Amino acid sequence: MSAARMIPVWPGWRRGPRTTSLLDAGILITAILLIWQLISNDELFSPPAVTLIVLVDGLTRGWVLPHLTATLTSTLLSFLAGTAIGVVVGALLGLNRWCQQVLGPTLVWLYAIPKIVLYPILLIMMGVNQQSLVTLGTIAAFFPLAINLAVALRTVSTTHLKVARSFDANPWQVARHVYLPTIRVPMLIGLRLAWSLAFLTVIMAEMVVANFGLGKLMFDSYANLNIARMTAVVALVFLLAFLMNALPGLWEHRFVHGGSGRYDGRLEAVEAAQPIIG
Amino acid sequence: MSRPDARGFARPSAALQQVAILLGLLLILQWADLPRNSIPLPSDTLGYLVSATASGVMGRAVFLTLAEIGISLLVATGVGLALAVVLWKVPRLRGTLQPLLASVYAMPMVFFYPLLLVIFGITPTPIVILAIVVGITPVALNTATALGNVSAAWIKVAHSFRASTWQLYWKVLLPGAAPLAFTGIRLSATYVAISVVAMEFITGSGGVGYQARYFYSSFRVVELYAYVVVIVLITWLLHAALTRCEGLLRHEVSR
Repeated sequence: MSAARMIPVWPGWRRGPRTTSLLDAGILITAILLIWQLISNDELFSPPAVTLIVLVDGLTRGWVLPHLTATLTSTLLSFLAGTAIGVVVGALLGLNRWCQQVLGPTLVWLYAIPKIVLYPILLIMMGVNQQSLVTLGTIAAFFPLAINLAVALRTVSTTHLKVARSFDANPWQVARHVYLPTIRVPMLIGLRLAWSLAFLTVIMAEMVVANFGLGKLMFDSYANLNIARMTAVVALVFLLAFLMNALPGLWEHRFVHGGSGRYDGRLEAVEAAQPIIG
Repeated sequence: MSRPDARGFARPSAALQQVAILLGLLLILQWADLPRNSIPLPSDTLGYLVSATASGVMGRAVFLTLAEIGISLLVATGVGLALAVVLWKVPRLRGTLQPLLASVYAMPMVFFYPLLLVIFGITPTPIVILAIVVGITPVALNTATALGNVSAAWIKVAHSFRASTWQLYWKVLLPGAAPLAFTGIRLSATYVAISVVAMEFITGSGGVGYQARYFYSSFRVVELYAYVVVIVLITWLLHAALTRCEGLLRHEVSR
């Protein structure tokens, strides 16, 4: 696993041209809504206004709420479990040479497998419940964190480690002043990816089989040809995904640039982006 | 497959150790006392793999999946490269579209799958369309960056030799941008493959993902495991082949 293997941020928000003016963004949103309005019809997918009404109805009358809660709970549990496992595996891979050489490439390759295909195996083992959903979400969430942490730990400067040793730093100080500054940014990015992947994977799994969840609601509406409801749920999920991506992105941006300034651009790796795919 | 370490002892290579670990796991799965209605014997799974391959059932599913991946990747690469050139040529457009592309990239396109299913029905079409959308962005973004990184001096030299537009693109920009652009194509291939299999799995008309789903629904675990193994093999082969190509390309260009 070289530095180029790290799973980095998307381009465009740090170094790429970030010149989208409010005007351009407004034109773009208007264009999207206009196209949506023009190509929509009641048999295929609902126009924006109808979608908004159905969505508001679902939120106020509450038929969407149990599904929303179920999806968000599963996502949160997957994220927490995935983070815990990801940190342990990442630390093992980053600090132990054998693990890095033998298990590292395997991890990167396993990351390229569609995790959703493991869902039926989990379903057969655990049954249709939140446990199997969360297990799958955990598997999806742990990868980006483990890979980013492992790669970041390999890039910790040996000079810094030597300096720390010659100052007789204790393990806590070494962790705090040598390791933490190097792994902070990759960890943050890994955390965000872990959350997004948990969310996506949980919803995809719910589309396949689940008792509750936005994915189930979306796919049931499709199966019953309740087009307005399906469009509304798709819109809601997309909005959620957008917010989940945009909000930490803003915060991260400030954190990276407004922080101690230790960030040295290592993440500007060749693989400049990472989509959210199951 | 082995090389001596610092002390002169022969140490098996990483690949050999990986194979050994895999074999060990398979042996445990084969001999341990596990609930066989959820974890079938590896030998049964292997047996089904052989018989399904011999009867051509497996071949048809693999062919459909590979065709979906291939077509999507081809179209996505073509559109992505064209888009990259446009983005590179028109800075205003780049300013507007690049952040949009980046956020499309970060959005799970699979959520549009039900919408497309309504429009196109349960056919390979919605799968290919969404896979193309997923695949375009890494190619476009990486190639646009790559074109921006091509040394201005090279372009100046091309101009002072009165290179035609065609020569400029073919002889200067393409080789200059190739390594990074290929990284985009490799990433695109991985994402396209994941999306195709995942969508086949959710609902499809055929392919390895669909087969896995079908055998899950009928609780035939041996067949299910066999198809999961095939999916893992397909993604591994794709990943390994493209990583190798990328390495060769980098080597070629850096000479």
